[in-house]
Amino acid sequence: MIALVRYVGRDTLRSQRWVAPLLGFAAIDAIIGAQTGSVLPSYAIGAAALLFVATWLTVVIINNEDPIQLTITEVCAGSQAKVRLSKLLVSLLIAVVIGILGMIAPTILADSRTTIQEVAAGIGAQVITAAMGVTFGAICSRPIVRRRSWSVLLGVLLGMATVLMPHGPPTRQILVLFNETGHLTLGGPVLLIGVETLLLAGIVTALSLRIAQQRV
Amino acid sequence: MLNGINLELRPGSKTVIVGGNGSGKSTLLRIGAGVNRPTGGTVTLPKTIGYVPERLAARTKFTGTEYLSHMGRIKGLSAVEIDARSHELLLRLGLFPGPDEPIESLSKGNRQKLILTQAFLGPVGLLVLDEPFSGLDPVAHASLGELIDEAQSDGAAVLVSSHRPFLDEPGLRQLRVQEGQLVEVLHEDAPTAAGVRLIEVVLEPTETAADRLQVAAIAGVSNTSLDESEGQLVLITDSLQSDGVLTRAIVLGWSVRSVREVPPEAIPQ
Repeated sequence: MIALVRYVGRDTLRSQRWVAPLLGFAAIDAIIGAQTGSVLPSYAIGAAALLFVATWLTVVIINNEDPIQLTITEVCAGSQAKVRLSKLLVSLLIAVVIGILGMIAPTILADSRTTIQEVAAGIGAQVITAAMGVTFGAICSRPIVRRRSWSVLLGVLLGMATVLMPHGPPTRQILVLFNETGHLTLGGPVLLIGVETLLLAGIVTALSLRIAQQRV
Repeated sequence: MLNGINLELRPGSKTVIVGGNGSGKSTLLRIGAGVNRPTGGTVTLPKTIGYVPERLAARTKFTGTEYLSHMGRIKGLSAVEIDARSHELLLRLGLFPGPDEPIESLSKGNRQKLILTQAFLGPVGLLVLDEPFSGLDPVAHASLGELIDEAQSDGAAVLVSSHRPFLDEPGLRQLRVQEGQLVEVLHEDAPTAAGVRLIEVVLEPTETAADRLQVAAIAGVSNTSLDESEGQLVLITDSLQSDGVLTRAIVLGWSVRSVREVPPEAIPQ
């Protein structure tokens, strides 16, 4: 698995297709970074934006490998699922890193002093939405969705659903939580959203792996 | 596309799947490599498989060395094993200009050599080679034949696809894909070493002659040797392909000096 992750990471970096999602996130971050007041709403909006960027990044990473080369990689690895999972892992790692980097600007620009609990909750929110975004990316990429236009549409719809659905995990819940509650009560609820998201992401990922195997 | 296929590949056996374009042989080989799943039925595969797909990948950003290192590591081999084995394989297949060039800058034949090399890195229980000889020069062609034989004697089951039946040899099984079914190619239908009439062609370069390596790479040429004293090139082809070979050689600026039928024993292997 480590060899696969290294291969996917190197292949992704060489392709330079990751630049567009990264610039997209930097642009969103620059806009929300300029907000004043408590840092928590900024973290939540950043996390919401990260979900879309993580979906985009995952589609880029999965679709980056040439389909014929993919068959060779799968035979070398002895498993289709392993190759796909390693791509999801690389996507998650990159998404979490840029999510956390995106917290720097709002933290510095915040009016009030930011507590360590707030930062921890912020990191938790980034990890949660990154995981959900990567899961959506796995659905919106080849061989499940082959056309780019459908990928974009499905990705946006799935992402918007988590933002707009009342009590929908994880984006809506994080946006509501970070805008309303005081910081002392953050730990438990963030953990709960995390567990919910993990379960949901696990089920959806297992399902997407299965569909991908059948659609080759 | 395929229906009612029942195929058992024993360790150390060689099976050739014969069929034209679009007959379903690539689909069968993809199922054999575990890349595709059949819509019905079961496939049992060994743990380690070496696979060469029919087409070449369009995009890759690696050099040959990097590519082989990644594929070898994914197979679970050590850096030392990968280095030693890929060095040996590339030497035998004759990769040109070398493994440190970006793969995208290599010719079709040389890219095919790299893909073949990854398939032969490390021991395998099954080799699935989809038209592996296509685009190879005569040297690589001969080396690949040897590599397949070596893998076979190491206990690998070999599944190869081809447009035409192979030369008959003991223990070789040849099957034709026909209307989605596998049909045994009868031994009398397969070309035998005795049945094929080998043709020797002697050529001389004109002033505008292309490099002799280009002549050697003409499809259907099985052997070339250079007569240093006279500057003549001696080609071996067979009666089925000699017309095409001659036409191509003339187009490349080589002049025909003689054409004769030769007994198979006279051909150096």
